[in-house]
Amino acid sequence: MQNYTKCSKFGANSKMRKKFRKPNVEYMLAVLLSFAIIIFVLFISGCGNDEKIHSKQWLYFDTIIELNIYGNPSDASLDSIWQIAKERLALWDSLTDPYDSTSALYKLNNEPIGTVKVDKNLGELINAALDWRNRTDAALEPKIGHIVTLWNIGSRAEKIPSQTEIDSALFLIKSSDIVPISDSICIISGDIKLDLGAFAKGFVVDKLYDSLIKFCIGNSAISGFLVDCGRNIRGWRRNGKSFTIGIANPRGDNIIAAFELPSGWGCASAGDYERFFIKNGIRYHHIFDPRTGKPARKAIAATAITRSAFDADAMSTAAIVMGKNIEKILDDSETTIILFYETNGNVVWESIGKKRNIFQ
Amino acid sequence: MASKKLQTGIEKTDGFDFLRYFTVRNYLIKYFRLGDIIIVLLVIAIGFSPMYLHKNGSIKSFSIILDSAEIASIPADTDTTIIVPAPLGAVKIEISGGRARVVESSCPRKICVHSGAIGKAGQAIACVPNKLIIIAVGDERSGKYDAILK
Repeated sequence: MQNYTKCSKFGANSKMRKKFRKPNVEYMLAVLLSFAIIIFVLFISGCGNDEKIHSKQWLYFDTIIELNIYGNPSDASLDSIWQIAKERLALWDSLTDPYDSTSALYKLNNEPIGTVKVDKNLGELINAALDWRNRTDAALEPKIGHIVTLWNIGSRAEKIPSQTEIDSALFLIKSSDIVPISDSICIISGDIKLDLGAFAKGFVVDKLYDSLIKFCIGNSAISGFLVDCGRNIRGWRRNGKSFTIGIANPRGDNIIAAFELPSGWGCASAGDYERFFIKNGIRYHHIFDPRTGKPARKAIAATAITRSAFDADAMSTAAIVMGKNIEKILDDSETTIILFYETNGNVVWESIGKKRNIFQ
Repeated sequence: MASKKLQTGIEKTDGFDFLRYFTVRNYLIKYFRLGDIIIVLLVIAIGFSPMYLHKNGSIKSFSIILDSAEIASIPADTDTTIIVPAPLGAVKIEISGGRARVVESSCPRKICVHSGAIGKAGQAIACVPNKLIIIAVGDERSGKYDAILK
């Protein structure tokens, strides 16, 4: 009988070594396995930083728009990507800015009643916005312009309007209407004032996504891209890997939650922290309930994760107005909405719709 | 022959009983010494270290972008005041103690002045009327997230 434990790693003597040739193979395996684990760990921790990111920023829609290109494209193709993006953004900014007197939306808002011609692109956006109005039972109202200009949040001359002023603005909203005949012809009645703040950015992200994917899919040096247009994000990766998106605390600087955004999907956040003023301890912000004409208070912020950035943009805004009731209008089993509330000074969140891994 | 307790705590019977012999505890005692374990842990720690080095969003410089073109990149550790010739007039930017802020601006609503100071990688101040952006640039883009919903 042999005493196995007396055999050290290197063998006690030649006789022993002969007997334990077989276990020595195990020892080598153990060493190899250790090396394999070490190499594996080194690989995992190293590969996250391999992808080169090229990024560029523009200022449109009163916000910073960032485009990230992943991979190693040539300078010429990068330049043409920046060119495509800039052209698209400038075009849509010039169509949808309600304050710029040269924009197509401003002109439409100041047309006399009757049949009017609209820019085809703007008409498409208006149609999509009116669909959302029907879907949310007017919790999202594209005609909200009268209320927006009445409160004028974001300017330095903020004041709380009287109930009479709110009522007359609400009457103007109710008595005006827009009926699209096609993408380029609409019939308007009453004093209409469209404000597409809840739709425009998401719509532009989708349009930009469509033109970028046509360019990038044929260029194998590009491994993906991500469009970030003021809280509206959509990205694509050739290998189908998802993006990690963090959500900033609506009442601070830190990241309070994060999730995986699948390639090709869109996400958006809305909240009462974007544009607001505080008077007598009450926060008055820029997302209004079209039924009361006052800032909506069902949630302090909302994040929507859907298949397109446009739906995400509209849905996150609608969630501020509707709160938990938004669950009723979710018509697919894929959308997730994260609602944020403030209770006793703490920010808490709950998720509605499809369950997703939401981590810190 | 009577069975005998070995140092490893395994009861040894006649012949080579592989299943009894090859337990995790025996394996570790036989092939690993304390020094081996320390080396393995050390190598794993070195392997994982890059993941934590760039985590805290430390910044390298402030990038000043005027009308989509970078006009200046100022190291974060310099204390200085810059006056940018923006479309509507001068914009005064102050960088001190690793933080940047707009002190004076020629824009009508002064949102950039009221947005305060920035000092973490990825943060930005925008002055829309002047087409001006100030971005805090980190060593690596704050590693953990691809984008942040602010």
